[in-house]
Amino acid sequence: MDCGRFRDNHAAFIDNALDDVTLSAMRSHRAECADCADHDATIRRALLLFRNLPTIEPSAEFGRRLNARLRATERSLSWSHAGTRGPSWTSFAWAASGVLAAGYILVANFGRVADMRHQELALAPVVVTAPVPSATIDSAPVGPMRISPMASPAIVASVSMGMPVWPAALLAAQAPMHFAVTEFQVVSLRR
Amino acid sequence: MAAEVAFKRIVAPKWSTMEDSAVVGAFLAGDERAFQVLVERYQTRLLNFVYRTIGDREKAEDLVQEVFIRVYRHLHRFDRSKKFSTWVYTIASNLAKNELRNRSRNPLVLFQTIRRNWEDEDRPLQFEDPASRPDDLYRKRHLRELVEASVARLPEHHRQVFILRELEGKSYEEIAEITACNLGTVKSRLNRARTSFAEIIAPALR
Repeated sequence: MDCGRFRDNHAAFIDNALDDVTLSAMRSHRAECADCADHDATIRRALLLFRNLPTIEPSAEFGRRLNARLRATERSLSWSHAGTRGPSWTSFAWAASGVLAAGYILVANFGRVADMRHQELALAPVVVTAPVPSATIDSAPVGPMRISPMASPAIVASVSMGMPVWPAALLAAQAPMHFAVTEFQVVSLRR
Repeated sequence: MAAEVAFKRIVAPKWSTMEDSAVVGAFLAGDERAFQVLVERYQTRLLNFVYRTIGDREKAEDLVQEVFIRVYRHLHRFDRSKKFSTWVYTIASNLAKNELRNRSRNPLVLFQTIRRNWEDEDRPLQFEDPASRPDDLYRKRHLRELVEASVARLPEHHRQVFILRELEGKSYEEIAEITACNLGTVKSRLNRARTSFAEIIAPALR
């Protein structure tokens, strides 16, 4: 064994944590090497001093102060436990009234939604002008309701017989336009 | 009912023969006296460990109290398959490390600590053997201060390992768990700490 290995193993040597072979080699080296023997003795003496330092005892106040701190800790723990056990009466009352209010709002809105579901969409009544009898076309008064004489049944019948395009277009432009305006309306909010 | 800590030797044989894990179990089952037993068992050991680590007696007491407060609050979360002592020392070690870190950030704290040590110089010798001769008392006191000063000069991570091994007699495995290091690091730090400590104190012993 050399000095380097002796120093590396020295902690285990002091703690008696070496196997028999290494322990024997360490002892042999210590007996042979004055430097390592000196190193070993110095460390053992220093450790002996340290291990023999007087033990310090807690002061007389230690127990009293610890008791006070423990009581304070216990109080804080019981507060936090109380917080986890359940709500107080006040917070319970607040929570209950909140739940009631939310329930009321929900029920009221649910009724309205249900009403809306049962409404039916219906077409508004179509108001149209009664067609003018063909016999009165020529005798109709002058005005927007007067039908052009070019739209007589005879002319209309002649269109399918092969009239040129332009007269037909002119004819169509002058044809009376009576469109009914219709839109979807909610006619009732009741069932 | 608060956990009243009596700080007197608890004579009930039931407690003295119980393992830590059984005492912890009794406390968790609602027996408040079990906490007194744990305090009684560990207060002096923890105080010495923390004091040797930070070098301030008053602060060490505060930190040990903090250890017990944390134990009281979190014992229900302690993994009972592990050693209670390792858990307690881990808490103490972390608190001591935080204290040293705070001191390095806040020089005022360091100054207060130094002043307290000065005041210690003025205190009467209470813990020495009164039968000793005055020169023996002086020599012993000087030696004690020398040893404490030498330990204080070790780097913090070496010092904790050194104290846990030499003062508390912890195994390498326990030290590794307490300091959150691997086994190789513990062995290496312990070897260096022992050598450094011996080198620091050796000139004074010749």
